[in-house]
Amino acid sequence: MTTAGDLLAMRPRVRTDLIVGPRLMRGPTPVHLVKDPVSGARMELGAKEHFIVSRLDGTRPLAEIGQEYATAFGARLGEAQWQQLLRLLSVRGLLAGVGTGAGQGTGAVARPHPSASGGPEGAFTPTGVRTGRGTGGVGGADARQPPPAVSERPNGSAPQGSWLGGRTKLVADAPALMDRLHEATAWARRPAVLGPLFALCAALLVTEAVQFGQLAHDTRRLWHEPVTLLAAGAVLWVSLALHELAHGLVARTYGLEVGEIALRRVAGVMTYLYCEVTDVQFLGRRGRQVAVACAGVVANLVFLLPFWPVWALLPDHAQAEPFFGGLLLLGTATGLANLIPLPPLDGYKALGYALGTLRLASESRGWARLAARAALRRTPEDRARAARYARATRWILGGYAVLCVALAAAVLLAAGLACRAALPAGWHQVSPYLPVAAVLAALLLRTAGLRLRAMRRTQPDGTDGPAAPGARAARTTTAGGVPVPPATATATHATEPPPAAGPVPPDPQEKSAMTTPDLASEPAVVLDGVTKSYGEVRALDGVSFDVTRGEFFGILGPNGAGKTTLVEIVEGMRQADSGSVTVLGSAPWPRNLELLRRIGVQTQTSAFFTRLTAIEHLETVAALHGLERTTAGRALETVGLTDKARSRVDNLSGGQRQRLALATALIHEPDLIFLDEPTAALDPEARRSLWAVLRRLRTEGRTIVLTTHYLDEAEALCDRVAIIARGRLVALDTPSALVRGLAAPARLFVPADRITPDQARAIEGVDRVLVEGGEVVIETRAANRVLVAVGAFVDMSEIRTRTATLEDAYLRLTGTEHSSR
Amino acid sequence: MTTTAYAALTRAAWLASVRDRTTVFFTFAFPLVFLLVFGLLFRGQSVDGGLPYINYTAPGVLAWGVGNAALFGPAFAMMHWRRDDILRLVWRTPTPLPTVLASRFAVAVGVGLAQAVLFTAVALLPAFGLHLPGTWPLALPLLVLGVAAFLALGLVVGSLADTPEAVAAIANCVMVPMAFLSGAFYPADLLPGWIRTLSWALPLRYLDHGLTNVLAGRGGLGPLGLDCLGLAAFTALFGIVATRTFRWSNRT
Repeated sequence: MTTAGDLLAMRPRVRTDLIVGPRLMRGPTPVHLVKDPVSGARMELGAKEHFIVSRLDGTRPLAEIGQEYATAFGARLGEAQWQQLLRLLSVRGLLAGVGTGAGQGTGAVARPHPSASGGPEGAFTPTGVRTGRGTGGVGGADARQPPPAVSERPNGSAPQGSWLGGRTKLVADAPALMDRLHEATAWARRPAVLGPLFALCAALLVTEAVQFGQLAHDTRRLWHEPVTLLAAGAVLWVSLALHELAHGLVARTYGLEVGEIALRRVAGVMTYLYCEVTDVQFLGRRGRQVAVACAGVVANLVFLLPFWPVWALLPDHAQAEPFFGGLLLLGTATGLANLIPLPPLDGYKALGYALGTLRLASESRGWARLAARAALRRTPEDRARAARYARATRWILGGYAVLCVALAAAVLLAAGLACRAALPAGWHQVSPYLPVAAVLAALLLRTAGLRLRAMRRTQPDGTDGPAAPGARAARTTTAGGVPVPPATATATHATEPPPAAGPVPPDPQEKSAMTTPDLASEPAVVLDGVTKSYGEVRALDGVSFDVTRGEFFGILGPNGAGKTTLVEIVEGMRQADSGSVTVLGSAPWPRNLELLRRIGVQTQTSAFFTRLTAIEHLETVAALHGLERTTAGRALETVGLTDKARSRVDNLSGGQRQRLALATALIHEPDLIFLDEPTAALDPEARRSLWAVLRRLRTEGRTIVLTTHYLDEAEALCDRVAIIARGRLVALDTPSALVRGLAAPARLFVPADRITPDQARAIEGVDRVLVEGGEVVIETRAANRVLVAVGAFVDMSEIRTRTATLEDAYLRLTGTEHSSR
Repeated sequence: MTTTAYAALTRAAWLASVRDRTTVFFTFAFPLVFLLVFGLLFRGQSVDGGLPYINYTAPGVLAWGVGNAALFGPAFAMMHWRRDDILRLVWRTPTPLPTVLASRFAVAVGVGLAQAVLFTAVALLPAFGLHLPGTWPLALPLLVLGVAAFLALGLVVGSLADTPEAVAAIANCVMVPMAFLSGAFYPADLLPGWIRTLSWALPLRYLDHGLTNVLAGRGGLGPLGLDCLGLAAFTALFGIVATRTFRWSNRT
């Protein structure tokens, strides 16, 4: 354990790339939004946390910050509180990698790091006690974030929702569209253009107000000409689209990110467009935030400007008058209606931004409830809770609540009057109250529905619905009190792989369990001088090799080396320009159905029938091959995906998709299988589990040809490896022979405080000594001897070794500049 | 049990269509809204020297709805299948491509018939006042041929476009003007003479014309046969263009 003095002398640093928003009010509490640009996670920091976080710059010791804190808040921070706070920050990944601490090694406050060892014990052992200060101010994702269930869909493109509601993306790549628009409108974003434009909009509004009678008359006439009305409606749709683009454009101009532009359907009949802009409240200036919210309405008005002179210049009683007049009035009305300060309208957002509040509506409701209770019951607790709200906050929240009530009353009144006007005279007794009754009935239904859902959620099986992974997980960590210790001293195993950044290295034992191929049998694939060009580009340049039956054959090469072309030629999808190709004894070109029956191919893009479940997809593929339906289930079992049979293909994770693609390639039990980068874009765990499937296939006696640009994958799986670069075969051998041929030195990693570089250089057999990241790296071709010698300085368990891998061979053969990593 | 490739593909296409909620919404609800709006606005009115409004509205909306669905579905499917390498997957199997297309056709015909039943049933409600003549089964060959023509057009669009946006853009550019020019939203008898002449160059005009006549019980077999012939000719034309524009893969 460290002493308090050690702790307070530390100078931890908050990550410089964090985005910290301005001060906002959420109910009674001032908060700052914080975003981690790497993970995309958003958090709220309380004022006290923000005070500290803004001072953790790596230059000041905690003691100094603690003093400032005491002056500002009138309370001292004890050691336990500091630990708690730092632990919280480090668990959330907010602290920079290594702080410059008092002693060597103590600075490792950051995330758990396997190599951060060797010094004194980790500085921060979690106390497991929550301090009274309540650090819980950090936590909870921003409400404006889309729910994880939506944002974490593997594809994102899958249409979501039920029959009656859901959203449909209208622009595939909204950020790219915004970039283009941003460039295209650069000329217009100048005061010289915008000023007159705003003035014209204002003039339009004034004119419309003055000539309201005429416009209303035109609109009434429009109502009697349905076709014209439809035309006006179609034009207004364009205006709505521009509205969303304007939001996005202004947001883009202020450097914000535009998530998506989409259509949302509600309750089956209502549809509306929306533009999702993230992080508006991170903008430093409220004026800009408001501008983002109001841009849409301005766009609506600007859109109407050209129609205005036409309407004004039309002769009296012209045929087109209803169209233009109605368009102006309806367009302005829809635009201005958006400024009503009710969620989810623009006016609500603008008001919230202008006042610097978060979740104005729900906080206002909370305050109204609290105020009512405090006024009625007058219990001390209620009064104490109400007292937490500052005076200005009370006015804002209370004022908004009153405004909402007034608006609702106005809407109901208008609806009541409309009902009275629309329904026959016999209904006059009840018609004005119909809207109120309808709203009440809807509220009752909604409450009942919510209750029902809540009851279903709390079924005794213990699940309470899908958990929101990000925010909730983070919260549980704090509440649980014992999160992962930020830095605990772990004994480093002598042969531990390099830190987690690299890919998982192969396990040589797993591989040796495989049988070696019978080299005597007839080859599965014979290539002889195969050449293929696309225009000027030589994709393949005289490639020749054989693949033996039952072999696991790897084709390695950087991106664009010609691997995919090679596979396409072998399966007969493309014809080679020259050279001969023989697959399982016959020529693949032109399309050879007999041969195709014996080949299974998994392409890079996983080819799935849209919107089917995994099993349905495989059943369809089975039918395409003329196979029985039951083969689908068997194929699914082969790849260990039986429990996902009823999941839609769009909802499968990356690893599951690759397995399904493999099952698709295997369904007709082919003798020869081509896998085109099967583990691209998979996390290490998913790759490992896919490898296990591939190894099992190998033992069934099938020939497998695998293209990859992961070296460790080839080393772990393949019997032989062909390395292709720039269309040429540069090497072909077993992985171990390729590595041996390199005669590369082994590397020993020793903690820097255990041995000096000079001591290391003095050891006999050492070729080179480097210092990298707190470790002395010793290169040698006599690893055993040197290891014994180094053992005199340091305990064996603290030395890591790394021998040459296929990666080294590969980089040597293809040239480093072609390395894909 | 061996399922034939045709049956399995039809099932796949059917499930894919039904599960695409957005498309289902726009296939059924959207034309229905048009029908409701026009039907109620023009309730009880007639075109001078012509039929009651509903006799133009119902077949017009029906023709447009059927054509739209038959075009968009296969166009999107074609684009997706090429982009996601489904076409290559089919290429590797013994199943010929026409089987794949035939299954799409079956589903498109099913959707078209479902639309026809729904829209006609709504138009038959007393509020709208459509009366169905005894010769209504004559509409069936028209519908089937109409679906075929627009499906062929959809295949052309799907072969030309590489992204969903491009499909939507091209298909809308084709369908929206065609709907206005063919009298789907507006009684064709009220169109200016030259537009009416021009409209015979559009497949939707034949479908709309034929359906209007059948639902009004007028015209007889001669004009109906000509309408069918027109649709068949467009099917052949678009079919030929589709075979010309067809690509197995985006990377060629």
